[in-house]
Amino acid sequence: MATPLKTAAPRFQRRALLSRLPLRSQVALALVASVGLIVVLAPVLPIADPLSGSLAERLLPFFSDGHVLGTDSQGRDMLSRLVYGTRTSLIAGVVPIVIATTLGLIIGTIAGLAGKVTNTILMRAVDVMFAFPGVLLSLLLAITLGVGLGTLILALTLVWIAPVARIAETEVTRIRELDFVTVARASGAGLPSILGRQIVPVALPAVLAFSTSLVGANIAIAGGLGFIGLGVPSPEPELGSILQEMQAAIYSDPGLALAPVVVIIALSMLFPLVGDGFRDAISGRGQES
Amino acid sequence: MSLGTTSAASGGQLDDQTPLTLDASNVSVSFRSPRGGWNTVVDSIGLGLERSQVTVLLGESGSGKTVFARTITGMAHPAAKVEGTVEFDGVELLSADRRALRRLHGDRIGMVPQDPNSSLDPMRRIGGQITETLLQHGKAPNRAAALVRATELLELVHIADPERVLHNYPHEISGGMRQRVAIAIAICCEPELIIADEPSSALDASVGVQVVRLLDDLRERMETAILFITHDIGIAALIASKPHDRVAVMLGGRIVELGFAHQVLHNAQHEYTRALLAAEPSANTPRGELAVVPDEVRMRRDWGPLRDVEPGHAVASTPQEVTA
Amino acid sequence: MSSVLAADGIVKRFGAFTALDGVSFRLERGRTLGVVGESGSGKSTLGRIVMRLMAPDAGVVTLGDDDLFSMTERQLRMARRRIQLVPQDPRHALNPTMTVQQSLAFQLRAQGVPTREWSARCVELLARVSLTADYLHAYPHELSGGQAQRIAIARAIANNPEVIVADEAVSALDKSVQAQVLNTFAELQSDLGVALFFISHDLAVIEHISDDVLVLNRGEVVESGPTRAVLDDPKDPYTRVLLDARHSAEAV
Repeated sequence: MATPLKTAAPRFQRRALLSRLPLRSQVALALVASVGLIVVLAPVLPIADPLSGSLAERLLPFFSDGHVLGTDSQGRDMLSRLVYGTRTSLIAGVVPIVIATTLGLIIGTIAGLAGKVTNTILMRAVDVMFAFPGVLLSLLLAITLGVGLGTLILALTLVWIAPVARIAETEVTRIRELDFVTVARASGAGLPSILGRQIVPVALPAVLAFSTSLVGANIAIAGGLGFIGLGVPSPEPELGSILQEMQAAIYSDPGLALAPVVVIIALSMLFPLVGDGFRDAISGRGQES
Repeated sequence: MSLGTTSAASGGQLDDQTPLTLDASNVSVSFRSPRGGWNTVVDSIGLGLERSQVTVLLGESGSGKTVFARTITGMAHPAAKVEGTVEFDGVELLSADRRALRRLHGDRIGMVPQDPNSSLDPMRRIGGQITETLLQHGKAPNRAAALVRATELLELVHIADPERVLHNYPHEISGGMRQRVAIAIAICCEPELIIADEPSSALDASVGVQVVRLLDDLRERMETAILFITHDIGIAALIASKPHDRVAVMLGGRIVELGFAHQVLHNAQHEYTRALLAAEPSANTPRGELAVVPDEVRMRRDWGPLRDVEPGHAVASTPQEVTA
Repeated sequence: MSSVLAADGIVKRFGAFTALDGVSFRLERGRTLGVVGESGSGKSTLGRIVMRLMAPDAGVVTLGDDDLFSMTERQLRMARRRIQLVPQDPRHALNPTMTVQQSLAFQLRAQGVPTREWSARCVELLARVSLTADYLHAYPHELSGGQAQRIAIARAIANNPEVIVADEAVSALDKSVQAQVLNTFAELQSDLGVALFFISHDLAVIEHISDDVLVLNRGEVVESGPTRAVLDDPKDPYTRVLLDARHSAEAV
């Protein structure tokens, strides 16, 4: 027998994932969650109807009676417009990313595992998608399908499949050559279990962190499209179109005009913070002594 | 010029009159811990380096050997908190400004990196990289003279056909050759001090040994002081080949044993050094019976100060001795 | 005929480059064959071929009495239990998203060990490599290099293999930790009678652990035989260069 090793009993406490997030990510997550809660509960919250307003109450300033954030050029309650606008923006931000991440992950994983020919075909297709400007795509879709939330979601989904697939392919190609995957292959494990247990879970943190940060980008792009009238058509509130409607008030009441911008910028900055925090917490970084 | 080190260690310095090339005293380096407070990576080390002498910093990963070596050449990590003093020819390196440091580096202090790929520019021919260093530090009056000198340097590091190599890009030559080119650049200004950070560990053993022998040979010819960092006891023994060469054993940010190579490698007094030497695999040890460095020795951080056990040989006292 | 792993005339080419050129060896039950050579000698390629992670261009590998490369997928899956790998880099030896227990259980499941036996078997495996059951719930990033490598060994013996292929399995470790891992290998060998196919560039390690040695240079076997005989009296100039490198380092 060899010398027994004297090792002090180690403790491997499992702290909840949330508590392992860095403080800034925790704050960002809390803010995103509260915004999410507000927009989900919007119909039951005591706020005005975002679509109806009286012309007598046009462009009221902040803290007006009954309109905390004032009203827009058609006398509609600004707070309510912002809340419902944020809801539209969040849908346009999140839904395409969920779809694009799923599709991108599947394409990237197949490409990463496949032989050279399949990989080349898939990744060249991804390159072509990559090369196609997102705004141009949205424009074409808007012309052919007409503007609307559905078109917006379709456009923003198509734009992001390629980048997600690219990240997934890079990760899978890297991971499949790592020693623990080789060991799993050499032990006679089948492809489904190698893929599902050894490769995809390891690739997931990087992919999810990337997609989470894309939500932020998406909200900004949706806002931009809304501003130029290619997003969700009026009178449906959307942050970009609200901004467009309010630009007339920029000199008279800059606070009112810029409110949608503040929300867009805040949301697009919060999502990357959340994504990075989760990636680091899952992969174990940031909790080493 | 200050003599000796402020720590109790006289380890490896018989003659206090020999002027030191570099004198580090009480150097500590710490980094901010993510959990608050500071992690001390180097803990009040004093070490003097002399001309023509090799000093080996022998330590395992995490012992702080690389951090110490970088710090005393004025290349501390920007996030590090550094204490102590390091004197190099009357200049205080820890407080020297960047311009002063840049003048010293490459000119009077040469660096041989672990991975030569990181110090050579992949886009430029070897000749251009050497001549540029020479011209920059005013070691050659013009390009033609610099080229002649570059050829000589490559011969000096035993490169057989220097003219061809001068026209090569780094990727066109072997790893061993690249490391020799890196050494040629490190010595091109005839520095007083060479810092070599595991220069053989990325190379095959047969090539690594040649690189180590080359450095050993150069310090004799150029009377350079060499600080040689390694984790490999065999390599330490190979480079510290002269009677006055020293070995400093690092553990947990401190030097726990310091002395002439034969003292440390053949008459080790500190329990960590002894355990480390005994853990070397060899054909003479029956299988399964290699000595293991006990975790309580490897992890211990409360060693006392260095004390002389014989002339030139100092050992950190064990905690029991300190309390007794 | 007690060889558990043997190869005859293995040739492997990558394009115009010949990585292995007619390599043959025999590994007997419970013995250690040390495969030594410098980078580019083909030793890792040989390791991948004997595990059928890569096919040779010519030559035969026999695992026990079976030809490794004429097996059907089904036979191969069963045969894989008999030969296991301990890879080089402790940082990538284990799946970072799995606990130690999950990593070990993955292996047990691959060979159809019933679920209810997993937990006890995992504790037993950890004990074999001198680690306590506390480590079952550790993630790889919470382990030191030596601990990770011992878990990789525990994983390799999970299904009672006949041969372990160790590809530079101690090369990335600190010397003090390396001794522990080498002892673990030796102990398993004497307790379980497993044969070791031990690939390393480090002659000191090979000298210590091997019964027989195979010296590779540019894809060819330049010397082979009992370790003592080969290293005490090397016939091949390349072996002498390797030994010189080591002895000059030891001499002082």
